[in-house]
Amino acid sequence: MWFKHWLAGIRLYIGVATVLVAADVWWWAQVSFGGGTIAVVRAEEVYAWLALAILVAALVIGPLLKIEPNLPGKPLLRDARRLLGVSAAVFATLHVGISYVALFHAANPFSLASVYQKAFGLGVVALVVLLAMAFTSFDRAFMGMGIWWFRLHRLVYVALLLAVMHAFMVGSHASSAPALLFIGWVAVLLLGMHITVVARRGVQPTNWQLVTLACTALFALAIFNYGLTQHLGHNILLHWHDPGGHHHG
Amino acid sequence: MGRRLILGLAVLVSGVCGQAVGFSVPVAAHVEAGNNGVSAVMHIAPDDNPTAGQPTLIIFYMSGQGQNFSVASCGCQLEVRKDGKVVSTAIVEPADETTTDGQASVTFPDEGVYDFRLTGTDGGRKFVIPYVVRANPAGGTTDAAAGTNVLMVGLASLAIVSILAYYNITRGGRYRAAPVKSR
Repeated sequence: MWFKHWLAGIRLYIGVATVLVAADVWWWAQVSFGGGTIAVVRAEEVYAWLALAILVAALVIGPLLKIEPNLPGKPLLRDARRLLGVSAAVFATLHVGISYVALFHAANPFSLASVYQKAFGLGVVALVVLLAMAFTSFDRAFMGMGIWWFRLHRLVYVALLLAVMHAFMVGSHASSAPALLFIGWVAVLLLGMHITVVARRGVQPTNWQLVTLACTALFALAIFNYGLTQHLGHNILLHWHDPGGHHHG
Repeated sequence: MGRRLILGLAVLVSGVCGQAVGFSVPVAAHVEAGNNGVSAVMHIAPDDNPTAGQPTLIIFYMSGQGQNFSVASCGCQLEVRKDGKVVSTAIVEPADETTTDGQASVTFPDEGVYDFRLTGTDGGRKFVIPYVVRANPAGGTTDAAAGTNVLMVGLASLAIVSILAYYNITRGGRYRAAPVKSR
């Protein structure tokens, strides 16, 4: 009976797809790059991008359902959201585990260059948030934690911002033009959806909601500007009149 | 409703396309190793995928035991070996205005596995940091055809899972009969 229940739900298939994608990426990297370090690097980087993309997909569902209450498949999307979050946590764990063990040889983080220490710190905090959410993504935790469940799960936006910052700091190609375009597009989409939800609610937004939205927008802008600075070689907000600023390449 | 849904789907599809572009961007690798209190994360620019016969920039993000460690004063050298024989030696120079990032240019004579030995001194103590690097043959860096086949297998398996999901979910009627109220 329980098996039929799971078979008729979306979560089982998202779980199976997560395992299949993880295995296929590893296989692809080994076959394409002939094993060795470069294959491991490619696999862990793709895991990182997948974690980010799936996390964004999970985050889009909430405001989308509020904007379009009559969206077809609404219960299915709501059910899928939790497993998408778990899937993002799985890929983030794979990224961190493989990088730390295979590339950094389980080194003492404090012995690394300072940029890596900072980037590791941000990444680890983001991973802890994702794992805390993943381990409380079942009905009993939802019922038992009450308001704290929502408080914990709202930290997902902090995790997303930290993860993007982490990528800009040590993933040198994360600040390439296409990646910046994608990240900027996602930031505008998510913020736009949340602003639409607040505006459409029909009641005056609370001060807390306004402050949260404004702070998130400012943080997102600051982090995006950091990535843009990495890309251009100069800070466009500080030196907007100096398009030919110093370029790092 | 219909127009909004189409608009929403268009936005989502454009995002997925953007994501695909993002995936096609080569990514950076960072391999860490250390010895005698000195740690160095190696990055091979631009793509950690060196090709034989082409000058390749090797970047080291280093840290020493004391605060005074600097690439300019460590006398750092990069020795490149293949099959136990020294192929070339390069001086590691400061990469930018920071004192702990160094770089050296290396040209791999042919494809194969190379041993790197980054040497220098920190506070009078000598350090030797080893790395292993694989140089690809000129003209072809990866086995793209085999990789594409593996991706096709992955897509096919996902398609099977999707069909199974569609069949079982519509037949089960779980979402139709009792909407899930979880968040």
